[in-house]
Amino acid sequence: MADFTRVDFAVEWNSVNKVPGTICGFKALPAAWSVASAVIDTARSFGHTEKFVWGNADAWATDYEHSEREPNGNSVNWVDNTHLMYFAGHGAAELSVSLASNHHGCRAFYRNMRLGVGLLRWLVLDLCDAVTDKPDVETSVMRVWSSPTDGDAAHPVQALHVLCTFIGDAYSIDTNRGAEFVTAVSRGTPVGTAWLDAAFARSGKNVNRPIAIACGRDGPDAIARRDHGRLADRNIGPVPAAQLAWKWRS
Amino acid sequence: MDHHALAERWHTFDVSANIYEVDSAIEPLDDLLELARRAGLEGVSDGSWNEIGPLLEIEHDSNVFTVYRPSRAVQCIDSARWQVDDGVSTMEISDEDAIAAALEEVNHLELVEHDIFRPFRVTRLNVASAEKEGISSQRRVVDIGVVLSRVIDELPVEGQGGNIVMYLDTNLQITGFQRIARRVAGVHEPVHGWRPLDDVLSEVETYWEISFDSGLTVEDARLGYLELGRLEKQEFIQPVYGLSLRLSSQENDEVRTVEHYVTAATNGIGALMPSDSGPASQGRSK
Repeated sequence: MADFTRVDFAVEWNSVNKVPGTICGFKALPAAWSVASAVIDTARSFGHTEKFVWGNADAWATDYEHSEREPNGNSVNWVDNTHLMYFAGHGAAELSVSLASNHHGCRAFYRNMRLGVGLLRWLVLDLCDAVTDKPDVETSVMRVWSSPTDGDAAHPVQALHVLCTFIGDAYSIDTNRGAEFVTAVSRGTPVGTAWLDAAFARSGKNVNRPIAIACGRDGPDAIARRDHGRLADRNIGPVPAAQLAWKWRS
Repeated sequence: MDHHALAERWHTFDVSANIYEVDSAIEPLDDLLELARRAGLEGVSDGSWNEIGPLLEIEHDSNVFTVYRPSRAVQCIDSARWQVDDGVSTMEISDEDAIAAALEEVNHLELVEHDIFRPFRVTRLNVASAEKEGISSQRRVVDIGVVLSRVIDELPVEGQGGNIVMYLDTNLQITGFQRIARRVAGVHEPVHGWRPLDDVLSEVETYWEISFDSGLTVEDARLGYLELGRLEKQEFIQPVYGLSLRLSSQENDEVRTVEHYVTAATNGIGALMPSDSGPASQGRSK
């Protein structure tokens, strides 16, 4: 099982209060730095190549947005210029990654992302409400994540392999889930499976619900990537994204 | 819960408990090799272990048996079937039947050892897919994960550790399991007393920068022990208050729900919630 594939990785986090005057409305979340630092340390320990680590004022909305969708977007040089990207912090429901910076705004809108048209294969959005259950998970997945996986002019309907994130507003203060995830994928566990195992809450009343969303040319292709896609696939892509397949633990 | 209800709950917390010291030694591994054999990894021996970062692993056909050295947690999975969708199967099973099936496997594998575990939650692995702009496939459930919580001094253990999770497929065949139950070396100290409610609420209000009943709601409060996840070293197992919080007016005026843990004993050790926001800005310019 262990394939010891080394990949390029990058980490961003948002652990402090919002920048005054921005439209964001969050408060400090120190746990996000704990998650991010554990991811960084673990990825380094497995010999993965660090492309960038930016936090708070240095983590920008433009890192996520594509220039075809937002003129200031620069995702091809940042989030889409690494195999594995991990963000820990705040999110606005079905709307954005929310950042403690104001570089052309504090929100990286999902609708302005075109994920995986470059090097990006796997994106972890360790934040609330990237998917909701209003009215159900299926509707929310397609409503929010169809367009960010539509590709760009040079890569129509092509995208990243797997997006790992959370359903709903529950946030677990288990700050080691990112480290568990990186450890598991580094030893060869499929990426989607590793995320679900690392991130689902084993106790408490407010249960976080991790979800893995994969792209494919058709149903079987997307399902195979969702259940079997590993870091060893880093040189495959961008992959077709005519179909999405997802799994989550509830 | 309002203040009165919380005060009532606090009265029920007057029990006898201890702060325990964890045995951090990973050796000997004999008991884990025996467990691996019971799980179907025949012929394994001391020389079978592969070291992968913080993990010790044995692979046998599609079975992977992993020991997490920081916690001595164990995970055993059939990599061909664990969290894998065959594309057609679906399961409809009650929580009661799921727990009964899981307990049968727990007994077969002798996973309880010298500890006590109680059924806590049944989780379900849901799958679906859809063509862009198309109709999504019907949601199916392809496995159940039954969580059993460790019990110490009649108190449940909370956190990512202190549990057994049994994964069963649609035929109720086991696809994997994990067990995180750190070995206790002995009593470090008895609990001298319990932290009062107002002291705890004040700490929570300060942490989240939000006032009780003015945006902060406590939905549930529990007394238990805390065990951390598989990759975390832990020196002591101590009593904690587990608070299920609801925070209003968060990002985009949305609600957030979190589990907040604080030490429960007046002689509790350390802070449980992260407080370090990380390094200062590097002054990024491009």
